[in-house]
Amino acid sequence: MTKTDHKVTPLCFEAAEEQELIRRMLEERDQASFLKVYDRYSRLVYNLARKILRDDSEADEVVQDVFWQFWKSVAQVDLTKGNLSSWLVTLARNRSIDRLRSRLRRYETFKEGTLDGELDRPAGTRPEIFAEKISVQKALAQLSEPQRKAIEFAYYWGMSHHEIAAKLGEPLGTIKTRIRGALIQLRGVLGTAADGVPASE
Amino acid sequence: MDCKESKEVMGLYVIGSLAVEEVRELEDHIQHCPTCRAEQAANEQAYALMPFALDGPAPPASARRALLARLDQEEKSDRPVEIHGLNFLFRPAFAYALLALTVVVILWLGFREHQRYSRQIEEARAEVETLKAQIELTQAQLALIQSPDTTVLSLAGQAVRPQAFGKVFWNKSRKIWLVYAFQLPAPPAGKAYELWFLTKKTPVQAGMLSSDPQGNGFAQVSIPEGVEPTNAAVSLEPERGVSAPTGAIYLVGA
Repeated sequence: MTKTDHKVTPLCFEAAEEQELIRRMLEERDQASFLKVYDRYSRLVYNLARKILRDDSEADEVVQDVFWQFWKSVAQVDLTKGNLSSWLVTLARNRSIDRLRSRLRRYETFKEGTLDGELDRPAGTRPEIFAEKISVQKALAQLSEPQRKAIEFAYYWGMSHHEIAAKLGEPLGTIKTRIRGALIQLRGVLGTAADGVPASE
Repeated sequence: MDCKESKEVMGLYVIGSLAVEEVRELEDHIQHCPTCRAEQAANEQAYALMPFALDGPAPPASARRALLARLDQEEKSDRPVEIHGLNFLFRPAFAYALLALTVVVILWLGFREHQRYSRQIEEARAEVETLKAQIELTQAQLALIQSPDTTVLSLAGQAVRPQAFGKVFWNKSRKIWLVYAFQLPAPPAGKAYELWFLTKKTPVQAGMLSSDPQGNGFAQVSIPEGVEPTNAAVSLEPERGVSAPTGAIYLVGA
């Protein structure tokens, strides 16, 4: 089998399936539907938390927090404002950054340089391949190194552009421009350009 | 804020780094500008996809188990309170059975009370009948005593019981005696007082006196055809009665 023969499927559910899962959870308190969502998105949530927190144990706690919150607040999931994965990812990111800031308040220090490096993958863990991952990795690979750093500092550390500028020793305007450029480029590669709006300006 | 200014700050807005005042201005603009609104939404979508690029392992199985345990715990706590051993109390079948038992008990109690009152009514009715009969008898006796053709024969105590006495109300036309005796000693076991018609020939058996422990005796007898009594006597005889006097004479008409 050649590499091109391998069929890569999307990670996210189809909209109709997503709505049906939510309906069953909401109306029937269907645990099977909940577990189906968990099995689909727990790796995404876990690795986002690991990336932000650099701590497997804390990431494990974030996963449980996020999915428990999802089970308890499923009525508040508004699919008109995005899909289920974005709801879970937003919650996981917020929870993780809250924990990170709490840790910083306790005067813990970041390990300089670990942000850019990929976390060491546990031995024997096979990376999961899905369509969105390939697209986003490709989009991020097309960013310049300064653009990628700026956007990742913002996303994974929850840093403001003032903090990023201070961290990198760059002027505020430069960081502002890099972030804007990174988003435009990502939009273009990921096909999320708004109608009538050029993806690259 | 115009479209040019909007595009410049959109990036900072997405990462949550925009000052509060600028956020308000941008949101005002986006609300009225479909183009900027669409671009802003596209930025948000692209930014939200960032974590999809991450590689890494699945969370440990313990996380899934812990969540399942919490789900089970929640499901149990949502159930109605169960009291071990008394759960049957909350089942409809038990409620129906209890209702049926209650109805049966009420019916049984009602039936028992009904029987008790019925019995009391029957007893009262019988008592009334007895009293009526006694009244009728007493009235008949009184009428007999008050009848103009009734004469009175006094009975005197004999040697065995001098203080005993009595009266015979003798209705000649109806040939009836009403006999009252007083201060007779209680008859010994197997004995009773017997009344005699004393005629010119031999005493004729008249009947037994009913007596009470106080020594009072009574009899109402009819004088048979062919018997012409001239006097009366009372003797102590075997309680079934005898055809001729054999025992002690207690009373004799004076």
